[in-house]
Amino acid sequence: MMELGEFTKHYREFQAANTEIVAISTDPLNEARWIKEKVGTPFPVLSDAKRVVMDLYGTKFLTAYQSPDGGPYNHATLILVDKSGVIRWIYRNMDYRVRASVADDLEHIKELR
Amino acid sequence: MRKTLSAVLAAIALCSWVMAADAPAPDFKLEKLGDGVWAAIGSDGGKAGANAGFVVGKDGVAVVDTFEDPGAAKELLAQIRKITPLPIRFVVNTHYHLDHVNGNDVFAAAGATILAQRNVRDWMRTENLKWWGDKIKPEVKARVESLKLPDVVYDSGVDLYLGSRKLEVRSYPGHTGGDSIVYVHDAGVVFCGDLFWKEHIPNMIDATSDAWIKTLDELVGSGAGKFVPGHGEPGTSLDVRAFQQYLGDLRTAVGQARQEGKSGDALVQAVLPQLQAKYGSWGFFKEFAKSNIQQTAEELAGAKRRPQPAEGTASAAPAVPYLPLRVKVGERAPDFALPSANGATVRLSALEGKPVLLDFFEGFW
Repeated sequence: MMELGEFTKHYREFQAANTEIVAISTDPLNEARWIKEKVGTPFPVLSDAKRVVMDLYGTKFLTAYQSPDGGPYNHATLILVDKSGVIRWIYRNMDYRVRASVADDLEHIKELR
Repeated sequence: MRKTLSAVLAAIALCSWVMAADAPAPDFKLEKLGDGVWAAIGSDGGKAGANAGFVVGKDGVAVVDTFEDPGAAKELLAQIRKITPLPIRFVVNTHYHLDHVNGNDVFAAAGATILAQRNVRDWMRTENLKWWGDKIKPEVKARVESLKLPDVVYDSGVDLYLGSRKLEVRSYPGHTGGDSIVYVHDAGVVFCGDLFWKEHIPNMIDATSDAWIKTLDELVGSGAGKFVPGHGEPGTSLDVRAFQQYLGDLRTAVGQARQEGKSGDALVQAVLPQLQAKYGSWGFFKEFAKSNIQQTAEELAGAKRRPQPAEGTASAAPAVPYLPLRVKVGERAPDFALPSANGATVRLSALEGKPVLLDFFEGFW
C-alpha cells in the first residue's frame, strides 16, 4: 500500500498530466474496498480475484506467496498505456519492494507527448 | 530492559567460548541429510551455540556457518576431515550473529573463501558487541572486533559450484535484514540459518516479522524436503509452517493487545499466556518469548531499532525471480473489464483518450 499511498498523495500531479491511475490486485472486492477506504485512493482499485487480468498480462508472482484465498499474487508491476491504448513503459524489479518513484512515473508520462 | 536482555542472551548462547579454554568436547552432532550433505546440530546452550552444516561436492566442500566457538569450529573441521580429504573451498555465513560466525578464522586458515550477504560484513564487528551492552570485557570486545569478515559479499545471492554440484545461496529478509539460505537442489535440502527455528522461540532483536512471514512462504515454496534450522533439529515444510504460525500468532496477539490500548508490562502480561499455551514447550521460551513480545510491539509501533545497511548499499533484497510478462512495450494493452471497489466496472478501452498507469500491486506492497 505504500505505492498506492504515494499515488494518492501525488494524485494532482497525475491529474495535471491528464493520466488515470488504475490499481489492480488479486484481492476480493471487499478487500479492495477496504484498501481503497484505508488509503483513500481517489483512483479506482480493481479486484482481479479470478486472476483474469493477471493471466492476460502475465504479472503472476513466481513465488510460494499465496493470497488468503490460496491463489497467486501479482508481482508488483507498473504498465503505462498511452492515450491510444499502446504500452509505452513497464517497470518491474526483482526486489518487489523497490518501486519507481513518482517523479520517474511522471517523467515517463511526460515523454508520451 | 535492554541490558537485562543482553545479559540473558549472552548467558544462554553467546559467550561460552570466552572461558572454554579447556572445556570438554564441543557438543554438536552430525546428521547426514543426503549424499554428501551434512547438518551439524548444536545443542541448546552448548559450546557450538547454533547449527552449522557442510556439503561435499566432487572437488571440494562448502561449509554453512561456523558456530559461536572457535573450538567447536575446529572440531567441525576435524569431523569433515574424517569424511573427505577434499579442500574446504567456501564458507557461507547465513547472517552476522556471533553464534554463526565465530569460527570463521578456523576455516579461513584451512583455505576457505568466506561469503555472505553484504550487510553481514558491515555488521559483524559492530552489531555483535550489543549482546554484552556496556559490560563487555576487553577480551570479548577485542575478539568481536577482529572476527574474520567475509571475503566475498553479494546482495541478493550467488551460485556456488562444487564440480557439477550447485548450491544456490539466496538472501531473504526477516530475521536480521542480511540473512541467506543455502539450497542444495540435488539433495532437496535447504540450510535456512536463523530464518527457521525448529520448535524454538527465535531471537527477534533485529527482526522484521511481516517480511519474515513472507520469506517462510518462499522457503516452503522451494519444494525442498528437508530444512535445516539455525537452532533445533532438521525439519520438513510442516515445521517451517509451524514456525511461521508462531510469528503470525505473535503478531496477531501483540496487535490485538495494542488495539486494546495496552503497552509495556501490561501488554506482555496479556500476550505471554497465549504464547505459553501454544508454544510453552518450545526451546528458548523462557529466554526469548518476552522479548519477542516487546520487540514485536516496538515493530508494530514503528519504533523498532534494527541494524541498517551501510550508506549507499542496497538492503537485503528478497531475490524473487519473475515470470516474463505476456505484454511488451509497443504492443496494444489487452483490454479487460474488472469490478472496482466503488461498485462500478472499469473497462480499460473506455479510458482511451488519456494515458493510463496500470499498477499491479499485491498485499501491502
